[in-house]
Amino acid sequence: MSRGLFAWVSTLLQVWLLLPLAAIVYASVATDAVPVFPPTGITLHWYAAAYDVGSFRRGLEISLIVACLSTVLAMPVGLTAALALARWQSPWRAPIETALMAPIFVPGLVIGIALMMAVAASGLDIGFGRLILGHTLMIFPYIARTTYASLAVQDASLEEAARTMGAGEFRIVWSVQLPLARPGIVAGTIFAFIMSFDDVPVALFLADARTTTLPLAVLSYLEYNFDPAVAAVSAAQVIFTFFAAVLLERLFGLKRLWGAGNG
Amino acid sequence: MAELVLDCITKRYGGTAVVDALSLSLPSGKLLTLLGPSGCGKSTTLRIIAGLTPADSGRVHLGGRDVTALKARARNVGMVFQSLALFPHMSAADNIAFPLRVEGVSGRDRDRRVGKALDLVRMGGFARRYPDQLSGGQRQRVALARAIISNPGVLLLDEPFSALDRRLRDEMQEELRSLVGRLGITTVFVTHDQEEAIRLSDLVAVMRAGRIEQLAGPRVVYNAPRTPFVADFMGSVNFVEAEIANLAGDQVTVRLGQSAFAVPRPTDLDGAPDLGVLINVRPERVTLADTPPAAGPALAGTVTNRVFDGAFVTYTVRLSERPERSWIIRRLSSEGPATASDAVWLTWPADATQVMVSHANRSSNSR
Ligand SMILES: Nc1ncnc2c1ncn2[C@@H]1O[C@H](COP(=O)(O)OP(=O)(O)O)[C@@H](O)[C@H]1O
Ligand SMILES: [Mg+2]
Repeated sequence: MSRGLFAWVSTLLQVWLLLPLAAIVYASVATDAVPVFPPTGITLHWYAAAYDVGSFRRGLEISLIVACLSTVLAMPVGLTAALALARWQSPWRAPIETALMAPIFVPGLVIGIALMMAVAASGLDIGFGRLILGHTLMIFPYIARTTYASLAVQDASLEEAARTMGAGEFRIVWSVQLPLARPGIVAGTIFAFIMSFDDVPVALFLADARTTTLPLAVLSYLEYNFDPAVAAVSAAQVIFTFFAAVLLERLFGLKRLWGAGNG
Repeated sequence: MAELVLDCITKRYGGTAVVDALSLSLPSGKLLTLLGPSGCGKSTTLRIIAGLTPADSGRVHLGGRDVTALKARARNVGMVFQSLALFPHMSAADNIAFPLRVEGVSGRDRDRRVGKALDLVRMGGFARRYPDQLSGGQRQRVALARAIISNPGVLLLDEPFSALDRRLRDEMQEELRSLVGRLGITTVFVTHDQEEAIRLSDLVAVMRAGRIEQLAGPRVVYNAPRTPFVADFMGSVNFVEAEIANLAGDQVTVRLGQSAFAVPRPTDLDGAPDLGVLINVRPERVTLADTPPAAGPALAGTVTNRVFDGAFVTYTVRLSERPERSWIIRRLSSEGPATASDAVWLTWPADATQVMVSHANRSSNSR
């Protein structure tokens, strides 16, 4: 009885959360310039229209480059941080863990302003570089956190077994700990990529005219226009994010789902 | 030659000596069991041998070499963990190949040795299976193969069979015994199960609170326990206070109530006549009678319980002289009812008597 109720509430909640996404997809394929129900017709016209907006095309390019590069940079940083935390027996571990995870809790605006001030103070004009560095800093904790979570639940006897078999630290990390942490690493990486790709507040402070990301381009477009082309961009983003998640899980995550430490 | 020597190993956790000045020496090719209740320091001792836990003091020698300062990876031990610690992301073959990869054995040579190891544990058909696709017994075999593939100086096993059901456990014990025998690997096996220890071992070290209470062959530990703790742990619960009437050469005369009898003198028993001792008799050596025996050990008692469990009948008998002590007597049920009444006499062959210094008189814990 209460289980049935719970299932209903959870279904309703999911519908509630997905409703805006559905609305966006709906608006993007309806013929009407202002959403009405039922739609006059179904069209992909607004996608073409969005593609014709130069700032969107350029923004997509920049967002992809920034998200890819900052994810690639964040990966080794995040993995190293997670390994250091997991393998380091010290009373300092807890406070450092908290400090490391700070970017997850600190609002993006604060990070953006802080990074902007740091870049300004350094006097370096590195253009693209500062956005990528900013995003790397912003997203690596996601990789670190999920990886650390995977490492922390690993059966310590696996590491010890490897040790009795003659393995050194590097081999233990590379052949045992990281492969077993793969679900965490993949999840964190997908998340990190999406955080960069969707970011507004940090980019707001670090981007310039040459590095306007897609979300920024959408924002500035909205200042002067309101038409379903924006819905088309957002819908494309939703769909892209969805497929990115599915693809990465397919490639890395779901090939073998094992129970942790199930020796 | 002694393959493994522990010399006065001590390990403390928070002030408690978990391993307490423990010494032992294990000849090459023998299987030693560390047997004792949970928490007595068996796993810690094993980890100290493997180099996974550093001892606070004492030396570890493997193959005649002092390895105390060596790390686990340099000690060349094979270890089977209680959880087995198979790598879940590697197939059975890859698990077994891991130590060879580390050594740098490559290609065909490695494949050949892995194949041989798989055959040795009768897992030839399961090379490509992952641990979660194997049964409990099959996982044990893979873990065993992985532990022995690089010809370790000693093989260490920490209660590997404790999670198996009884039948599988018996089978694995049999297989371990024959494998270790065939390969001649010096082995240390940890268990809290006295039956398992007796079946498997060349030598049994009964541990208590970080010390070895008795180290001997399984028959000796079973039939001639040297301390009440060992006797109790080996399932022999029949104790009674007695006195030494006479110590002469290799004989000792024990006075028990009205009876007196001579038994061989244990090597660790010395002291004055009239010394208070504890005697112990295994449940299956005692017989029940309606009348006192003409000679030999005798105790009067009252039957308080009879349990029939198939092959055996187990009697509980309260001693008349010492009502606080009850003895357990196991007789074959095919022998029929041992007595007509509840008032009985207990007797046993004099040489079934274990004489041990009672704890009140022990100056130190000898082994
Ligand atoms: N790493 C540790 N830190 C603190 N205490 C420990 C540690 N390892 C074992 N102990 C303690 O040492 C005692 C012996 O442990 P162990 O060797 O595992 O016993 P056994 O294997 O005989 O059950 C136990 O009381 C246990 O709680
Ligand atoms: Mg243990």
